[in-house]
Amino acid sequence: MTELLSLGWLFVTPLKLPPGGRLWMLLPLVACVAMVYRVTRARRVGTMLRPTVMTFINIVVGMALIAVGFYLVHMGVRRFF
Amino acid sequence: MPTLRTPARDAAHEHLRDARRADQAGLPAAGPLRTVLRLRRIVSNGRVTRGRRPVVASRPSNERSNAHTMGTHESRSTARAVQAGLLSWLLPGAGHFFLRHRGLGAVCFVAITFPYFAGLAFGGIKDSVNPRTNRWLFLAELPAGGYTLPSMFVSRAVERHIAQQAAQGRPVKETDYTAFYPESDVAQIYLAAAGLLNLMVILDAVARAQTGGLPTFHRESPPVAEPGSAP
Repeated sequence: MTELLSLGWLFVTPLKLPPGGRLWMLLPLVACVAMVYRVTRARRVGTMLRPTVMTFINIVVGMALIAVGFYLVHMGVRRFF
Repeated sequence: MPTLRTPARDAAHEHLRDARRADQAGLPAAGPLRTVLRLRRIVSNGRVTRGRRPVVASRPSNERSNAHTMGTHESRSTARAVQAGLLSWLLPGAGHFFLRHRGLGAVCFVAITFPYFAGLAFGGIKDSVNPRTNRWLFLAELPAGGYTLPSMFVSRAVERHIAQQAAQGRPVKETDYTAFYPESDVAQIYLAAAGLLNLMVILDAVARAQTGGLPTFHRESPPVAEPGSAP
C-alpha cells in the first residue's frame, strides 16, 4: 500500500531531469517509435528485432544530420549577416 | 420469382407460422419456437438435404450458402475489428493480444506505456492530462484512452486538493504540482507521442482483424512461377 501511494506521488509531483539529460531523453522515445512502427509492418514478433534496430539507427542518424544542418545554417547566419 | 422448395422447408415454414401466431397471442417463446428458428436457419443455409430434391431452384444452393456464409463472415470480421480497436484504446496492445498476436501486443504495451508514464512522471499529472490547461495535448493523449481518462480524474482531484489547501490558508508550493522547462517540454513530447503511437496501434489492430492477421502495410510477395510454366 505504501509503495502504491509513493507510486501515485511520483505522478503528482513532477520529477527533475538530471542536468544535461534533456537530449538523452530522445533515445528511449525513438526506441518506442521504432518499435511501434515496426509492429505495424511485422507478421510475427520474431522478425522484428533487426528492422527495429535499423529504424532506430535511421531515425537517430537522420535527426543528428538535421541538427548538424541547422547548426551550420546558424553559424553561417551569424558569420555572414 | 421461383423459390427453393423442399419438404423440410415447407414443414419449417408451417412451424414458424404457428410459432409466430403463438408469439402474437402472447405465449412465451419457449423451446419449440427456438427449435423452429434453428430449423429455419438450417434450411436457409441449405444444409437440409433429406427427402426429395428441390422442385424448383432459383439459383444453386451452393451459391446461396456461400453468400450467406460470406455475409456472416463479414459481420464477424467487423465485430472483431471493433472489439480489437476498443481493446487497444483501453489498453495498448490488448487488441493484438485479443487477435492472438501476443508478442506484438506485448511490444505495443511496453512501447506506449513507458513513454506515457514517463511523460506523466516528468510533467506531473495536474497539468499533463488536463483539457482546460492544455487541450491540444489532451487531444493527442486521447487515443490512449485507458490511461488518459483515469489520469484526467486524478488531475481534477489534485486540483480540488490544491484549491482546498489554498482555501484553508495553507501555503501551496507551485513546483510541487507543476513542471517547468525543460521537464515540461519532455513530458509533453512523451505524452503526445505515446497517444499518437497508440492511434497507430489501434488502426493496426483493426486492420489485422479485417485481414485475418496481416499487418497494416504488408507487402504481398510476388507469385512464384510454377516450374515448367510459361513466364
